[in-house]
Amino acid sequence: MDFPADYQLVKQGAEAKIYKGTFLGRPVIVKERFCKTYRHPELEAMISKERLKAEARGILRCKALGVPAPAVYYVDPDSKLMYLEEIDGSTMKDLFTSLLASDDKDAPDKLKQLSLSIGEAVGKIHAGHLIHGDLTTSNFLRHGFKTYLIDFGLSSVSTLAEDKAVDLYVLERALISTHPGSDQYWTHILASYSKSYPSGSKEVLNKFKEVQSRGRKRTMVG
Amino acid sequence: MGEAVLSYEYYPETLHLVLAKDVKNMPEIKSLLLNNKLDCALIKPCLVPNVFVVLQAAYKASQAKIKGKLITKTIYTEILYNLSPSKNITQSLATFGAQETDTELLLAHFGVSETLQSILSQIQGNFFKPTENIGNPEQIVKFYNIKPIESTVTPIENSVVSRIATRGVV
Repeated sequence: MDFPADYQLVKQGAEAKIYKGTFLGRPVIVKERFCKTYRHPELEAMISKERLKAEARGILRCKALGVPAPAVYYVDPDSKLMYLEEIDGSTMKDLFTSLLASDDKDAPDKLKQLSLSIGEAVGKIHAGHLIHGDLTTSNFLRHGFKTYLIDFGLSSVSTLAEDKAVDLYVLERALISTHPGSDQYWTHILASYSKSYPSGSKEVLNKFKEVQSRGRKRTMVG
Repeated sequence: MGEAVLSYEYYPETLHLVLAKDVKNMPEIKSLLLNNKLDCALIKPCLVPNVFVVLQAAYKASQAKIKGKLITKTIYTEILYNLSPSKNITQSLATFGAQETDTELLLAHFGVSETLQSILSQIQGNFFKPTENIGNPEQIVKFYNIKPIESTVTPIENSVVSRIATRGVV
């Protein structure tokens, strides 16, 4: 894709390239889903289109459930581009990494507050049956006192406790594997999850124990 | 007159926006528009949160025109259609287009200052440069079906912008 000269590549992931630039006078993040040449072209076209749609739907639903998400400015399905509001904040990943390494006496309390906000966001979207699909500490942005959820390319809508439990399990694995020493904060995440999702968190947490013991995939034996 | 116009460079054309108030000859303007004698979009200002939303709807319309993917007849009706949460074209144009009984309108025109002047010369009213806040938040919230749970965490404008951007995609 040829972008104007002021667009800068800031990140390259497995799925997309992230650019920074301006759109109609505003700072934006442009997410470009690129072609995977190793995939069959028809399958590739289908998958990338689905993920673009899922991303747009996920953002709308997330906002409607009262969890901040970046505004969508423009979507170009032909070139698989999405122009998003730039959130001027830090990822939870960076915040956790620096706070866990810091010897500031307030660090544990700050980490607790961040964990509570993560749990609250996940609880709220699950209460509205939105499954994020890729919950990692990189996909939460902290801006002021708001916690934004980003990257909804793998999101879906499901009322099943199983799907919500797997969503939580992915987050737990991501937290523990990217942030050694963060185990104690998981309980805060779960506590505020339950608080913001009073109607169904019990069932999800029971399922979660089951998922923990078997892993993300269901056994297909029998 | 120049200070009443907000211009924005779009490739390959320039978009001009003017807010007109105390318009006295609305029925006349409307009939000129319906007879394709007025090359512009006349938007009802109360349903537009701010200028950015119009720029965005116009950008989406101009991209659709370049790609030959306009859903409505012209780039101007496409702007009104893009602004609307409804998929019904007639209804969208009726809701977001200025009506004969209105005295205010937000004019959008792709062109040069001469073509804009010839349009403005046919409107009897006072012209202003559109500012950040234009519309009526209560009406906007109702029209776009933005619930309080959403408007408490994100600005109304962001909700409207996201709906406009994703419409036709989701």
